[in-house]
Amino acid sequence: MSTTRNLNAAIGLLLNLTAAAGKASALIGTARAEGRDVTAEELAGLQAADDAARGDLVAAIEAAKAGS
Amino acid sequence: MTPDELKTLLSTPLALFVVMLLGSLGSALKQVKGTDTSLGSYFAHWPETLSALIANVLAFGMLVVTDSLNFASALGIGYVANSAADLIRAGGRSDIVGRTTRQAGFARPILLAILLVTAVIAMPVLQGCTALGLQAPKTFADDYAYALSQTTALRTAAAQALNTRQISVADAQYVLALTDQSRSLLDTSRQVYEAGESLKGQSQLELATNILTRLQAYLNARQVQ
Repeated sequence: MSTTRNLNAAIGLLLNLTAAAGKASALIGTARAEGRDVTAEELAGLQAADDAARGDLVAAIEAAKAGS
Repeated sequence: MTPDELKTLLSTPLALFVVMLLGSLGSALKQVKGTDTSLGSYFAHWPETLSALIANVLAFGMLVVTDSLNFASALGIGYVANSAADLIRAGGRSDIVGRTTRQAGFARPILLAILLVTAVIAMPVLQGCTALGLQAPKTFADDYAYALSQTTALRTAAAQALNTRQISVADAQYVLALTDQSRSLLDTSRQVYEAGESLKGQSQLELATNILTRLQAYLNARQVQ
């Protein structure tokens, strides 16, 4: 495996972290602008996104197993 | 010296910097163990040794600036700094240690090491960096939201890496297991916090975010397989 591929993967993770932090930050910023805390419903939305990401990872694992 | 005095002493920045260096030393001892390389000749590879020291200093500064300096972060990042120093060149220290300890699967642990170093270092920076336009967390819900987004990002990155065959199925399963553990701790911490036990809730949340450090121990174990 080349250093380039490792670097690509690291950059990919950094982009994912940035995007995820951006979404959380947007929620927090909106709540503050409205003079309130992040609501349970908004946190539930983040949980749903995490559940979806988990589903994607499980699917990728199953697909990799089937393909190997 | 009372336990409280000892705790105060160990929580000083200087003591925590020493903890970082001890973390790096622990990584070195782990790599040297079982090889015919002495600790002296290991550290005599000065480019890697110097890189590890510089990485420790920079990481220490970053932890101070982002208010993330604590025993776990110091120990974990100190450990990672020494491991990551092997990446600066081929044929150096990693080659000597690798001849006797690392086999064909070496590349994937290195990839995961890079991913995790990125995660461990980048997230506090992102959380603390208002220059990027990110809101600094102030409440438990804010911390929870950021920690949960970190778990989501790791799952997404692992799925992408697996789809492009950059990590193995076993690696992805391990990421899945630890992110599940992290999510479970996060949800428990929220329940505990909302039940009125704020300190216990914060402690659980910190435990969840420290799971990444445990992944580094896994990687190190993979290197000697």
